[in-house]
Formats: sequence, C-alpha cells, structure tokens
Amino acid sequence: MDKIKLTIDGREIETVKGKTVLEAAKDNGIDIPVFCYHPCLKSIGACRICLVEIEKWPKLQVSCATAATEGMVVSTNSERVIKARQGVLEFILANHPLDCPTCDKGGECPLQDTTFKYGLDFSRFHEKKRRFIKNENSTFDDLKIGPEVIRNQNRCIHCYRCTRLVEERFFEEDLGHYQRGAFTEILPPPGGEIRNMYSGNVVENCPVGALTNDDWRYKVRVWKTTEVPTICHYCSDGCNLRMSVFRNKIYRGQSRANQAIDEGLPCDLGRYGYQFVHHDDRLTRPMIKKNDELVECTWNEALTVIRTKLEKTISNLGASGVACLVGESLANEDYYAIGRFFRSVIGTNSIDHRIYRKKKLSFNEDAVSRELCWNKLDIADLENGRHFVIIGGDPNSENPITALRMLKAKRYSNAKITLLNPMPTALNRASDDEIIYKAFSEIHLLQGLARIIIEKKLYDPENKALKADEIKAFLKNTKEYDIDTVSKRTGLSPEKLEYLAKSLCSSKNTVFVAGETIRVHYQRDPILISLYNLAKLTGNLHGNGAGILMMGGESNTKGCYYFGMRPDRLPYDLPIIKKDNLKEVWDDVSDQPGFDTVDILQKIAEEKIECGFLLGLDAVDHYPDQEYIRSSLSKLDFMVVADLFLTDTARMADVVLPITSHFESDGTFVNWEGCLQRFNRVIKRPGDIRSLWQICSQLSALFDKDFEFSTAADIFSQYAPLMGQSGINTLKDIPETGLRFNKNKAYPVFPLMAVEYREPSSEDLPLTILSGNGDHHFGRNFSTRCDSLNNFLADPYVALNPKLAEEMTISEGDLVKLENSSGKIVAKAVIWTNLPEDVVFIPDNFIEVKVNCIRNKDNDIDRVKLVKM
Amino acid sequence: MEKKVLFANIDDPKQPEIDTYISKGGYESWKTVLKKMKAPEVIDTVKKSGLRGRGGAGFPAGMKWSFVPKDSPKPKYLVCNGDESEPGTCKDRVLMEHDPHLVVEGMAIAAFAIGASHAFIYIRGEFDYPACQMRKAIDQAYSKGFLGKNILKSKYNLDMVVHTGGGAYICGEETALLNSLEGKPGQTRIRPPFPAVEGLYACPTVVNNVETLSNVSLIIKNGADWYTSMGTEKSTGTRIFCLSGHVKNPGNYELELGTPMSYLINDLGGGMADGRKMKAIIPGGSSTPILLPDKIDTPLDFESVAAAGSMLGSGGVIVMHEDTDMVWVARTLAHFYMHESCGECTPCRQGTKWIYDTLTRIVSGNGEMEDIDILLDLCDNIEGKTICPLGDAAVVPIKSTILHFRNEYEHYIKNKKPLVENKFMSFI
Repeated sequence: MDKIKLTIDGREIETVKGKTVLEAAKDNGIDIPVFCYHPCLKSIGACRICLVEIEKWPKLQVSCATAATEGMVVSTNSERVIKARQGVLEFILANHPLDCPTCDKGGECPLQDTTFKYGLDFSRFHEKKRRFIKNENSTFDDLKIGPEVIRNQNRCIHCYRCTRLVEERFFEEDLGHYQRGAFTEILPPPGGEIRNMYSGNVVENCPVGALTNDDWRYKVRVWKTTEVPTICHYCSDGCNLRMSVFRNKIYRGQSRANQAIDEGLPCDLGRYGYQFVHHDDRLTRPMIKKNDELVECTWNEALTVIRTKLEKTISNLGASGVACLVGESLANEDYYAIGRFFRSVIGTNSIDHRIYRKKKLSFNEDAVSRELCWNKLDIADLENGRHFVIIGGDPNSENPITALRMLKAKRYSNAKITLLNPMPTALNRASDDEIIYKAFSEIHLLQGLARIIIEKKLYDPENKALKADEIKAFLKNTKEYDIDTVSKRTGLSPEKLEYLAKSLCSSKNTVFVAGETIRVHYQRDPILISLYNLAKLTGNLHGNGAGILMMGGESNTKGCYYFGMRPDRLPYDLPIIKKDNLKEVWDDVSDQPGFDTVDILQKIAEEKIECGFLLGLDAVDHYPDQEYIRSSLSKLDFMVVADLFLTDTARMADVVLPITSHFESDGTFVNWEGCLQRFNRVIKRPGDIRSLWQICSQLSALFDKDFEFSTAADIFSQYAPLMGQSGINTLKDIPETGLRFNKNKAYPVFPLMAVEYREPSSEDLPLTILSGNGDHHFGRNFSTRCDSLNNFLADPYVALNPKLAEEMTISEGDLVKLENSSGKIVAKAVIWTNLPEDVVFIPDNFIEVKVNCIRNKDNDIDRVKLVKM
Repeated sequence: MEKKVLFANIDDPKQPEIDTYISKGGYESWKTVLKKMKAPEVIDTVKKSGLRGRGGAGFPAGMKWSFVPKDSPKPKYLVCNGDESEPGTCKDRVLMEHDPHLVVEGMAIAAFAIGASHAFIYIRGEFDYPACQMRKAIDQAYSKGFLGKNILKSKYNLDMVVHTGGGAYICGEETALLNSLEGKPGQTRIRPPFPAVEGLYACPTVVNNVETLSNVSLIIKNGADWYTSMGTEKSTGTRIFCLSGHVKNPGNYELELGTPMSYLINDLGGGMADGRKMKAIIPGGSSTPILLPDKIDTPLDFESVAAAGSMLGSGGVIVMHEDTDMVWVARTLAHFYMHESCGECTPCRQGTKWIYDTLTRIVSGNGEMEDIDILLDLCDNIEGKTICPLGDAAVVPIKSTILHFRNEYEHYIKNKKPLVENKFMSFI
C-alpha cells in the first residue's frame, strides 16, 4: 500500500493512499465532526459539517469525500472552517425541535455533542419551526413506521444514513425519502413498514432521535446505564454486541463493531433477542420429581440425588449406562466441564450434540466435514468473492451477517449471487439468478452440473489440479446423471442447467455456500462432495475469496466440535486415542468411543442406558421425531435436564437444573468461521441458578474429584495450553477481534469423487415439508420469548402454494391440518405465490406448532397431506 | 445582430416532419460523420468551433467530450439535458417543439463522437408537447434508418430514448438528472467522480444541453471556421436569448454572441412597456446577479457579462421596470429555490427555507433591521458550501437585491410597506 504524507492543522501525518482526509484525520486523533458520514456507506457529502479548508482549493471541501493526496495542506480549524461549521450547525438546529429532555437520544446524541463542542450558544432563527404533524392527538408527532421503529420527523436532520443503509447495504426497499427540500420525510413505501432483518440499525445509526426503538424508548436515560460487551447467541455468525444495563436489567442491545465480522451492523435478533432473560417463565430453583410432579428443591438435594442415581447406574450397567446430549448454544467452558465430568469422572464417552440426526451417516463424516468443508474463508474474506452460489439455505435468516458481506461484495464489487433452493428465499431481492429445484434433488443437480462442465469443456484446461484420468473416471462413474435424467429429477430445463453450468465457470472467485438445509440433509456428505467437485472443476478450491463454506448451526455449534462434544473427540479436536495429551489435567479417559445421538436413543430403548443428561437442549421439541424421542426418553430410569425454561423435555425429567444464559456468565463461543470470541457477564443471575460448568464441578466434588476451577476464566486457563495458540493463556488474552483457529492450515486435495444418490424413504403423501426460520426468529429456545421479535412475527403458520390453496378452497388465515402417520399439526395458512406446488413451508420456531410431530426417524423425507379444518 | 442559425427554419410548421428536414439538407452532417469521419475528428471540429455549453456554465463542449475515457470497457452514454427550468428561460422548449430533428441529429453526432450506443433525452415532466415532438422525431429517424442497428450500413449502432422527468428544477443539474434517469430521487451526487468518468449507471456519460447539441450538426455541415466567424473570440457562434419582463415584445431572439444588450431590449424587444423607466435586468436566468440599467450596453457574451458583474447563464434576460418591488422579487425567487431545493445538503435545504421565511416576515411588515445582515450572513453560509450550484444560485437574487436595493428593504422594515406599490410580476 502506498504511503502518503499530508499536513493537517500543522501536523504532518502519514496515511495510506485511498483514504479520505476525514479518515486520515480520525486515524491521527484529529476530530472532525460528522453526521452523514458512516464507515459502512459511500460518502455523499450531504451534511456539510465536515467542511475543511485545503490549501490551493478555492472552496471549502467535505473531508468525508475528499481523497487525501501527497503534500496536501489541510486546516480543520481556520476561521473560514469555523464559520462554515457554525453556519451548518445553525442551519441544522434551525428546524430541530431541541426537545432533548424528552428525547431518548439525549446523552448519546451526536448532534448534542457536536453542538456543545462546535456550535454557538444562541440562535438567530426567529421563524416558526417546521413541524410534521402526523398525529393530532400527540404532542410528540411520533409515527410508528415498523414493528420496532418509531419516527419523529421533526428531529430529522436529513443525513440519509437510514435510507442509505437500507438501500445500499441491506438491498431492501422498506425505507425511503419522500417530498423534497426542508420537507423531505423519511418513510416506508405507502402501506408498508420497515421490517427488514436489519431494521434496528437505522435506529442506532440515526445521529439524532428521529428514529427510536419501541423497545427502548422512555424507559431509562442513557447515562444511567452501563454498557457491557457480549456476543450474540443466535446464529453462528457471532456478532459483537454491547448491552445497556441498568439495575441488573438489560434494556437494549447495540452493535460493537468488529470489522472482521459484523462491521457494526448486527441484525435484529441480536438487538432485540435479549428479552428472554427477563422472561417470567425463567426457572430460578432446581426441581425434583416427587410423585410424578416437579417440585422445587435445594441444589444440595438435587445434586445428591444425581450422585446417588449415577452411582447406582454405574454399579448396574457400568459407566456406559450414562449418556449426555448437549445443546449447541452453551459456552465452550460448559462443554469443557461437561466433557471432563462425563469422560474422566463418570467414565463414559457417550456425549453428542447432533440432535438433528435421524440416522447414522453412511459415510465417514469426519473425512468429509473436516477435510473438505473445513471453512477456509472467513466472513471478511467474502468481500473478495465475485460469485456466491448458495445451495440449500437462506443466509438472510440463518446467517444474516454473512449474507450482509455477500451483499457488500455485490454492491461495491458487482459480485454475482446465484441461489439454488427448493423454495424461494429472502435473499432473492439481490440475487442474479434464483433457481428453484425439486426438493431433495441436490445430488442430481450438482453432479449433473459437474458433468455438463466436463462435457461442454467449460473448465479451465490450464488448471493443473485437474487430472485427465480423474475426469475420465468421474464421467464413467456418473453415467446415470446425464442431462435428461438430471433435468427430469430437478425439474429444470436442459437449457437452464447449461446456463447455470456456464454461469459457474464464467466468474473467478466463486464461493459455494451450503446452508442449513444441507447441514441436516439425509445425504449431507455426498452433497458436500459434489460441491467439492464443482469447486475443483471451476478452479475455486483455494484462493482469496473462493472456496466452500458450510454455514448454519447455532451460536456455538463449532464450539461443540472444538470442545469435545462428540463421542470420539476430546477438547480441541483431539481424537479420543490421543487422550494422553490431557493426562496432566484430567484423570484417565476411556479409549472406547461412546455412542452418538442415534445410538444413544437406541440404547435407551434397549435399556442399555438408564441415566440420561440433556443439557441446554430441548430434545423433545428438537429431535426430528417427537413420538420416538418421547418414548425413548420415558424409558430412562433417571433423567436430568438443565435449561432456562421448563421445556417439554424438562417436564419429563427427574431433576431439572436451572442454568444461566450467556448473559449471566463469562465464557467464549466459536462462530462458523472458527473464530473464538469472549463474552462477559452482563447481569447478575436471577434466583438460585448456576452455570453448567459450575454444576459439573460441584458434581465432581461429590465424587471426590476437584476440577480446580472456580470461574469461567479458570477453565479457560486450564484448556488454553491445549489449543496450542501461543500467547493465549487466559481469557484476557483473547484479542478484541477474536481468535481464529486453523486459518493457515494446509488442506489436502482430493480427486473428483462420484457420489451416489440414494432414493429417500418416505410416506406416499403429496406434500414435502420444508422448515426453517420464520421472519425475525431463530431456533426454538429464545427468540419466541422476546416480545420485540414477536412484534415481527408472533404466530406460527403453514405456507402454501396458491394453486394448492385454490384447489382446496383455503384462503389466507384459515386453519389447516398437516397430517401423516406420525402425527398432525394445526396452524394458520398463508399463501406464498412462488412456493412450489409440492411443498409446504413451516417456520420451526414456535412452541405452539411442533414440526417434529410430523417427522419420523425412519423416513429420510417427511411428507404430509393437507386437510382444511 | 439577430442571426437565425438554429432558428433558420423555426417558423416552418412542417419543420418537425423528417421529410421537410431532409429536404433542407437535414441529416447530411450525420451521413458525413458516419461515412467520412472518425470520432476524434468530430471532437476536434467541435473543439475548434469553440462551442460552449448553453445550459448555464458555458463549459466548452468539445473539451467535455474529450474527457470520456477511450479505453474504458464500460458502455458510454450521451444524455441530452432538456430539463429546462431556469426561471426566465424557454429556448430548449422551442427547439424541441419546432425543430426536433436538429436536436436528434446533434445528439446522434455527439453520441458517435464519444462512442456511445445509447443516447437519452431527459425532458422535464411539464414539457408534454416537446416530449411528444421528440418521440415522433426519433421514431421517424428510426424509420429512415438514421438510428438503430448498423446505421446507414455502417457498423455503428445507436438507440435513442426520450425520458420525461417528474418536474424538478434540480434535475437540470447533471448528476441529479442522472440519478433521476436511473429511477432514483433527483438528488445530486458528489464530484469527483465526474459524469465523464462515472455517470449514468456508473459508466462514462456526457450531459449536454439541448441548444448546445442543436449546434453540432450545423458546425459539422458548415465547418468550425464558419462557426468561429460568428460571435466574439472566446464566445463563438449565436445564442438564443429569452427576453421577458416589462418589455413591449418579449420572446426568443437568436443573436450573435457579443451583440449589445440594448439591441436585444430596445431594438428587438421594442423597449420598456407602458413607457416606464427600467429598474433592473437579470441577464441570464434567475440565478444570475441583477444588473442596473447603466449596464444596458454590455455585449452579450460570456466574458463581457462576467466583467459587468453577472453571468450569461442560460440566456434568460428578464427586464424590470421602475415600479417593481425588489423585496417581493427576492421573496418570489426565494420561494422558487426553497421549493426546488432537493433536500440533500444542509445549507441549501435549511437556508433556502430560512431566507424565504425571513423575507415573508419582512414583506408582511414584521421585519427587523438586523434581518438584512442576517440574510446576507445566511447567504454567505450557503454560498460555496453546498454540493451543487443550486445553493449558490439561491443566494444570488437575495444578495444582489440587497446590494442594489437595500433602501427598499429598509423601507419595508421601517414603514411596514413597500417603497413601490406594484407587486405584480408578469414574468413569474
């Protein structure tokens, strides 16, 4: 990067070519006020508050849009600049209502701060202030423009940050400006409201109180709150957040910009999704089952019972009679303690987090997911991508911040986005191609595309990684995937397939993204291999902004993997046979791999496991076969559930332990990139609840083993040496931007591999179930317990194709029943125009509608029939 | 002297028909360009002719064209600016209505010169008839093979599209025009990048005024020397002046540049109406400073008008008689600029409203003496601090009325009534 030197206010400073005068000044601690400038947006130079004087330039210039050049002499405080700045501030304040005492922005208002620092203490404006009256009955002229956004146009200073964010970064159209001049109004389109996934950002980035949050306003003054850094616990992106806390209550979530991840633009889940911590239904005391009823007890009682039962099981069946299933949004410290307790104290390796699995995978999963799909790219690398091929996923609802990076690459580098999905997804607002294939025909689609690329010689003949014999072998082994069969299976015309193959080969830096649909797919690994083939054929295996990504999962799915929540893995990804590495800290660990989820449930049914632990996991509502898991779990002799709420699983338990949310303890998460990030305790725990690591440590004490940790930080210090990251010994050593694992790991290259499509087993019914996240919801644990998120979507629904609805005379809002031999669910119907005819979509977030009631573990695909109520 | 070059056929009712146009030698230049000339030659000829932009700023047209990067892989666009909205100006409208093929041919040649295969003409929303005439002319040009694919058997393709705006003064500013053409709100863009580098859809774009482009085919036909033989050394050719206000014969007059203003007002315009004395002249549309009657002999060319303390602007000459209330004039124009401010940058958005509010207070009899200096200071806080020239234009009438007619402001404030009783402004 070229270095240049310039002078600002008499100081010679060095900066990088391409930076603006404003950025150069800010980097060197020289303050220039701004309103319309935002680091995430292109400068438009609208507010004019950042005017500076540049030698030899006749007019004052806006520093936010003027590039710094060699030898430039800039003044930010000359007489001319001061007069212009005061003039602009006077203009801004002329029509600003100055209702700071009742404005929520007061105390953190850039306009207030700038006026104090640079403005005059009087006004020459004697005219009547402009007023937008929308509500005759209200003194405050408020207008609700979205489920969570309230507008007071009088306060608006027209910096256009909100509309620019929405249009430029989010590719949404739900906020714009209407009218002109001093009467310009910020409004959603007629009849609409601002309800995009990132809508909270317009509030945080409003430099005045023109846009405020329904959730936060009029509750507490900002100077009363303390701000505590934390990490979002919804999706696997791991946005950095700060929570505003007052008297042990969280009032709001705001961004804490981490340029490598969220760039200061987290989605609404992070912003509003904290509310579950203050929910009335939180468990506050341990419970124990007496006469078929859960009654509150003391921790001592609960832990003693657990010890007694564990000892009994071990004497009956040995340690293998104990198994543990964990949720994917606990902290790494919890996982470490859970692993240590079950493996070294109890002696069982039957620990698993993959509750979404119906069947054991036929393939050696490790070989695939570790070597092929180990993400080599991180979120920031996506900016270098020039083509995103997203298959089987909706990044907008599964990984909103990763989606935002793709959109950024599209906006500023004209990257292409191709969506391959069995149903339309929200990202189609920005996609170049959206291709809807027949559900569960991924193998045909991907393998067929690979064949077209080879047959039409679309691949780069210079690509040395491609050997002639592997191509030959691949063609030979994939004979039954000819274009006609593929076309029939996927429902896409041969022309379309050819177009798609050409499109894949036409651009460099292609990123193949597999979403949640693939993660839980019955043929997950063959699909990933097919993606690997495509990436190899198009020359996108390695490189800056090229590769395969596997997204989806929850906030710490990757942490489960790193910290040993699998039957055959110890912390930090150590295979169980390398248990000696742990010798210095842990007692001995059995070298027999334990059972995974599928086996554990099987063994319970066979009464080979009689003591089960379900930690931070609502297995009854999550496992894709409710009837089976209920019957299986009911056979347990003793069942312990640790959770925040009395879930369906907890109701079945013999002992229920209330645990902390991540807001109430210190710890770390690993996001999908493999980036370890630290979060701090935000509030004190309500009632008598404990962290899971604490519970494990206390239980082990009952077995006369001392874990030698009393805080989360102690645990980190205990496992830090295992990670082999130099200089990282305590929680405090984790860098602000997180600690990236395996970034520079070398990856083996495999030949092209033909995979086989396996006909899925299913019932013979007309409709295939697709499920995913509803608008502004994520998972089943937390989001539906947040009022603000429920304001976006409160009720479950079943989405139907309009033709199907017409045939069955169903109109929007009618109750419909979906049933098959496993069970039935009832919900309100909504009609989506572009949903394929043979699928129904159900958001899998709501407690009222349990999608797993109509799922069956013996079927690869769940089909249903629709009945009008 | 009055010299009808652009207006040579303006009175022929059949002129908008392509056959009439061709019979008078129309599209000959276009044929010459396609068959015999290369793009750099066209640009050179226009450069040599000294043709300057007729929209207001007077930037040399040939120079503007040469800024378009030759090696850019992006498509290039030509945009003709027909958003004529400057108060006092109505020349482009006449050209589009009565000689649309002259505009089409000029656009075609300019598009060829910069290597564009798409040309747009952006016409303000209120200009319904001119837009119809242009559409008709373009259709006729297509049918005769002057536009479309492989024009006149050459390898050159050109499509031409009429786009009508929503009726906003700001869209006459080229970057706002481009935003509006892209379907966005008509708000200006910050420069750099200049449209010649990143204009329409972020591609190299040239934006020229209707009158400027109308000259192009005539320059090609008659040569650069013919054009420089008219006008002055630095302001070559002819120009259409739109004479309005309190004169006997208001109208559009085409004059050689450098003709004295007195000839336009007294000889062609027939002098002041109703036998009253002249009080003030706005020489180039409402955004140019007012001249007093002693400057009536100023030659109408870019340099001389600038030396007299104003600008040639868009050629809208507005004459006011002795009974004109100058504070009311200022207020009327302030209302125009307030209403037309796009609202993007602070000084213009807030300043124009503040100025209008203050002037309204003064004319309603509630002014205070310090208001005059506050007005001047507000003008200073707007001028040169905005993204586009609308802010600069908005302060011009205020500053020059206070400069020349401060006594009228003081009279208003002291006596709560105007110095002159006639508030009627025929031209706005």
